[in-house]
Amino acid sequence: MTDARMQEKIQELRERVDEVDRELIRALNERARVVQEIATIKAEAGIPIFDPKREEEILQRAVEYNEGPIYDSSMRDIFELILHRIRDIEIQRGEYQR
Amino acid sequence: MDVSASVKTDVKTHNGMIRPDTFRVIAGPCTVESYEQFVASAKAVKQAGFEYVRGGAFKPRTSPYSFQGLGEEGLKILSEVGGDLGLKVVTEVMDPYDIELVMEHAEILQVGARNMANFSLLRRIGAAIAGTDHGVVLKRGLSATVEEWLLAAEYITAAGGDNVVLCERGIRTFETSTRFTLDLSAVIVAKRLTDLPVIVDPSHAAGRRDLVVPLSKASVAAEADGLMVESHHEPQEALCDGEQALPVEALMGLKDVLQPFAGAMGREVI
Repeated sequence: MTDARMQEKIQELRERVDEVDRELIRALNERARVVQEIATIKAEAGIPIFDPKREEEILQRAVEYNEGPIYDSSMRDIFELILHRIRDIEIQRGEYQR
Repeated sequence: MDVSASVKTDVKTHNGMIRPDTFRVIAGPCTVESYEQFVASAKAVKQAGFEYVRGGAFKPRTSPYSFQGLGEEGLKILSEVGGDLGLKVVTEVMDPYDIELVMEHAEILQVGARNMANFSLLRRIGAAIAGTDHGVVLKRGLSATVEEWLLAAEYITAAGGDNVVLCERGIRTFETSTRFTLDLSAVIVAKRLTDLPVIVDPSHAAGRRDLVVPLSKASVAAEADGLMVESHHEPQEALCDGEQALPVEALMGLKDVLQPFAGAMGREVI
């Protein structure tokens, strides 16, 4: 592969990565918005945000759906971070500052 | 702006230990040393206007050669004095074998910071207190995250236990001017995440009595639902942690000192 051809190929692949990232960001925010709807209902019913049983189900499912090459344990870590960061938004919202 | 409007003061336990719009103070010596010592300290707690007395019968000391507590004899002193004075007793349980015995002598079982991650102990306590009015004060581990602390509480509740109260008691940091670093952010975060009441132990966190009252005021402002402080009728003579115990005079004034702060948060000190 010539140097110019290689650069072109990398550029092409990077554009695909960027496209996937855009999709991930869109999906994560969509996830956060749905979680917000749940949190609003929970706040009205006086149910706490912390729900470790549900979190564990989500984390196990993330591993179940995982086809690799990302390791199962890494997928779990990634999802744990997603869950907790989205939860952080919720605990800072007005509904929980009674 | 009314500050109290944004504070969650409606948390409670079913056994009446934590009640909405109040700030519960638990006080007493680190350890039950003798009948005379405990009755003197407990009388001071009663006179100071508080309803819950603490005292250790089993002491988790850093060194196995330090005073380990009076054990069953200490429990008997706790329940006798508590009963005579009409005070509810809070005491630590360290060993699963002692749970039933401790329940005979105390209303509230304390799980110490060093046992926060002793999940089999937590499960057994949860199962033992299920359906009773007994409660648990679950101290945060010295290096536990809020998440780990809440999950530890979950071990108790998942096993059927109720009336769980979280207690922030300082975490290990690089700072040496205090024994531990009182993490008041954790109190607020825990209260945002769960419905469990959260109290603060400023005595163990600071390790020195001059900080106990200021940290108690700060705990009220940080939305805590109560306080667990060490007090002793003769701190200089105490067998354990004397340097952090409030002397009687300070304990007598505690309610009045805290009430203006509690009032601003929509709470009454009890």
